[in-house]
Amino acid sequence: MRPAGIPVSAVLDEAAELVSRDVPGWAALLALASLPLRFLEAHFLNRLLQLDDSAPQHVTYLVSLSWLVAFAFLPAIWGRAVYAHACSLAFSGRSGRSVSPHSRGVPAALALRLPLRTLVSYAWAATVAELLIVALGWTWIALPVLALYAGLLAATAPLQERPGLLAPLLLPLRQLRPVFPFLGITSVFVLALPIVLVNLFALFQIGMALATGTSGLDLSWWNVTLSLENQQFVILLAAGAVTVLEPFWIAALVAAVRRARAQESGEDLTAWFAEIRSAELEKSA
Amino acid sequence: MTTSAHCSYHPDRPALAVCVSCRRPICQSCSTLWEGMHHCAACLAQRRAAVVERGTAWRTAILALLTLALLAGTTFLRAWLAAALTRAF
Repeated sequence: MRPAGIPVSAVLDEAAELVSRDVPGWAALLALASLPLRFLEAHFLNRLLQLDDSAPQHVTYLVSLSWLVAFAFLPAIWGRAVYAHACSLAFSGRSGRSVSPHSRGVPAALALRLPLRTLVSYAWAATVAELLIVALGWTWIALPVLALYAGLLAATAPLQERPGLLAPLLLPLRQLRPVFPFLGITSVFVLALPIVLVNLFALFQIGMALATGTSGLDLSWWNVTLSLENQQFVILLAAGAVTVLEPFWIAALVAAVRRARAQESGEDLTAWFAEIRSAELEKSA
Repeated sequence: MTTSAHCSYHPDRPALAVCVSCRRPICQSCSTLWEGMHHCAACLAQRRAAVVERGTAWRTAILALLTLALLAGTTFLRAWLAAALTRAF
């Protein structure tokens, strides 16, 4: 009997395979589009922590930094929408629709062909999510829930058909049936974040050790800069970890949404029946 | 308005009207009276698609403006809230 529900491990495997085999180029595009936003957010946080108690006297400066973050937000959401579209097309290709199942990768002409209304609907919803993250993110408890909502917005971006005030905001919530697999995926990524951060730090340390051993240069300045005592470096590491995980996060949510929709429409049963039929035919041949 | 020709979509039926848009003769079942004039189904579908597309374009433009306004609001909120929270904590 085919197991019911959405197995988290299967979704994660599917996402890892998709990112590494079918959409690595699109993952790179997502990282490039998101990098300015991540680094400016890190810079904003670092300056805020440096200002500390005197921050209320530098609101104008913080607003100017915040404007830079807002400008970097626009290419980042474009990157997310295009990447989610590429993931959807790659999944469709695997199931033998739209894209050839034998071809690796997603053609640029297809992935970039996102209607303007879809992009604007997603931009609206992503901005609302950003507002919620800004307003409630400091509580920390709300962050995973808001990250899940923002990720689902990206994963369902290609499904946005008609622009409206509420429809783009409600579309991701309709996919949360059942909700537990989505919470499971979020938990895995919350746990993965510090692991990626430690790995990135180890990578820098290995680089430093190699540079010291081979060049014989005085790297004392780099030793101080790339140490955990340097607040700016730690924040940048966290931004880097988020950038590394983001393609897997969105791909996993696209996979989960596809499975949830297939269950709702009965498409999964049709596919399962087709599998059984082909297996029977192979046996009898 | 009636003609002696046959319907463009049903050649076996006599035409009872002419579509005001494409000027094709059409039978009674193909004709729809809209604002007192006869229209064929294809022309009506085209008009409807154009109206829907125009509506979508307007909605898209308004939503884009609202998005930019909300982004500006988020920008100020981020700075003010950050400054206020550093004081509070």
